[in-house]
Amino acid sequence: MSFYEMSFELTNKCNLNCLHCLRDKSDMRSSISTGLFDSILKQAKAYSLQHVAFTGGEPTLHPQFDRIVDTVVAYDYTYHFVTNAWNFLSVWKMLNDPAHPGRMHKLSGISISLDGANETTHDFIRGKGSFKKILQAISILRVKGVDISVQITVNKKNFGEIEQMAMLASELGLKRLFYAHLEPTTLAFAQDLVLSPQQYREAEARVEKLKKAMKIEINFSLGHHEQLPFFQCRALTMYSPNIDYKGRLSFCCQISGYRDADDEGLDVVADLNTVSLFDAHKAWADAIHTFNLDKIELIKNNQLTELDAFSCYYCSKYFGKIDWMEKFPDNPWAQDVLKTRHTHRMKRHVPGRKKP
Amino acid sequence: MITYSIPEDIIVTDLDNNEAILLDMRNKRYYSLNETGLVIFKGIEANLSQDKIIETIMTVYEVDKEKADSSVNGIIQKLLSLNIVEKHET
Ligand code: SF4
Ligand code: SF4
Repeated sequence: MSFYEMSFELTNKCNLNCLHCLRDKSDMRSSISTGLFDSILKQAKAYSLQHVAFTGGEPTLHPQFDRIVDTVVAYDYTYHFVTNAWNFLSVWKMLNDPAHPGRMHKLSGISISLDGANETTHDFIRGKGSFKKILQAISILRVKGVDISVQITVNKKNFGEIEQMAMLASELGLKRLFYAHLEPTTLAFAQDLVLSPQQYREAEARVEKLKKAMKIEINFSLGHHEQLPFFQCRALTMYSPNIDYKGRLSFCCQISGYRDADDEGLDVVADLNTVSLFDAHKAWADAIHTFNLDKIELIKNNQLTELDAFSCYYCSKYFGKIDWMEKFPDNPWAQDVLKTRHTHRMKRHVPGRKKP
Repeated sequence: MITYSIPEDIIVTDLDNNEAILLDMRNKRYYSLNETGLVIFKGIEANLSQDKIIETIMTVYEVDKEKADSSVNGIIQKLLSLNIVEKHET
C-alpha cells in the first residue's frame, strides 16, 4: 500500500531534552510552512492518500499546529501524532474546540512516549515532571475515548522494566504498545544508555514473550533483528513518505535529522520547496533502487555482518550517520562500524540529491 | 476538627476549571469530576475546612447553606468511599 500515509516532521522545536533523543539539536529551530504543507497534501490527493502522521521534534509546537490540523481535515484525511505530552492541556483544548469538530472527528489516535515504568526512570530520561504530564494526558484521552499508543525506547536505564512498562500500559487501558531500539548517539553513549547487540536481542525476546502473554497489542518497531538480509521495511515499500521540517522528502523518518551525523544530507532525497511531490517520489524510488542494489552487492559478496541484521542500524551506517562511533573503539557497535565503513556506504549519486 | 487530604497516588488533571479527571495510580482507575465536584476537590487540595468549602459553594453557586451542605457532604462521602480523599480527625 504505497503512499497510504505521509509522515511529517512538523518542527524541530522541542520542549524536552531527552537523553536518548535522536534528533539534531544544533540546527536552527524551524517548522514546515503551512503553505508548503497545504501544497503537498493537495498533490497527495492524486495518490489517494488516506492518513497523515505528525512527528518532530514535538509536533504540537508547530506555531500553527491548529492550522495544520485544519488543513488535514479540509482534505479529508485522518491523522495521528506523537507527543511528549508536555503541553497537552493546551493541545487538547485546541483539538476540542467546538467551532472545529473535524479536529476530533479525523483524529485516529495519539502516540505518547513513555520511557520507564515509574516516575524515577522515566523522568531520568525525559526530565523532571514528564511522567506526571504523560499520566495526565493519558487520563484525558482514556476518559474521552481517544485511542492511545505508547512508544517505548529501550535503553540501559529501562531495560529491567520492559515487562513492568507493558503491565503499566495494560493497567492504564491503553490500546497498543511499541517498543523500539535506541538509535545510538554520542549523548546516549556518554550517558551509558546504549545496550549491547546481545541485549538488543534479549529485549526482542522478552517483548516476544509479552506479545504472547498479554492482551494489549504489543509490537517491536522497525530496527529489530531481521533474519532475511533483503528485508523490505515500510519505508522501502514506500508506505509512508517522510517530509522533514524543512520540507524535504527524506529516505526514512528513522534516520532523518540524526544527531551528530557526519553527513546530514545523504538521506535527503528531494526538496519539496523546489520540486513537485511527483518528482520527489521519482527521486525516492531512485534512492531506494540504489539502496537495494548496494545491499544485493553486499549479499553477493557475503559482506553483511551479524549486526547488519538490525535493519535501521544498517541504514544509519549506510547513510553516514554514525561514523562518530570510532571515538568508542571498545564498543561492539563501534567495532562493526569501523570494520564496514568503506563497504557499507552509499556511494552512487541519485538524481535530485546532493552528491556524498 | 475534621480535615481531608488527597493521597499522592491521585493524579489530577484539571480541564479548564469546569471538569477534572482523576487517575488513581494504586488501582489505575479513572474518575471524572464535574464542576461542583471540582470546586470541592480544590477546596480539599487547598486544605480548607469542610465549613469553608460549604461557604465557597454558597458563594460560587448562590445556593443556601442547606443545599451547599448536602452537596459537599455527598461528594466528600463519595470521594472517601473511593479512597480518593482521606479523612483526618484532630
Ligand atoms: S525524544 Fe522527542 S520529546 Fe525528547 S527531546 Fe527528542 S524530540 Fe523532544
Ligand atoms: S532506517 Fe532503514 S530499515 Fe529502518 S525503517 Fe528506515 S529504511 Fe527501513
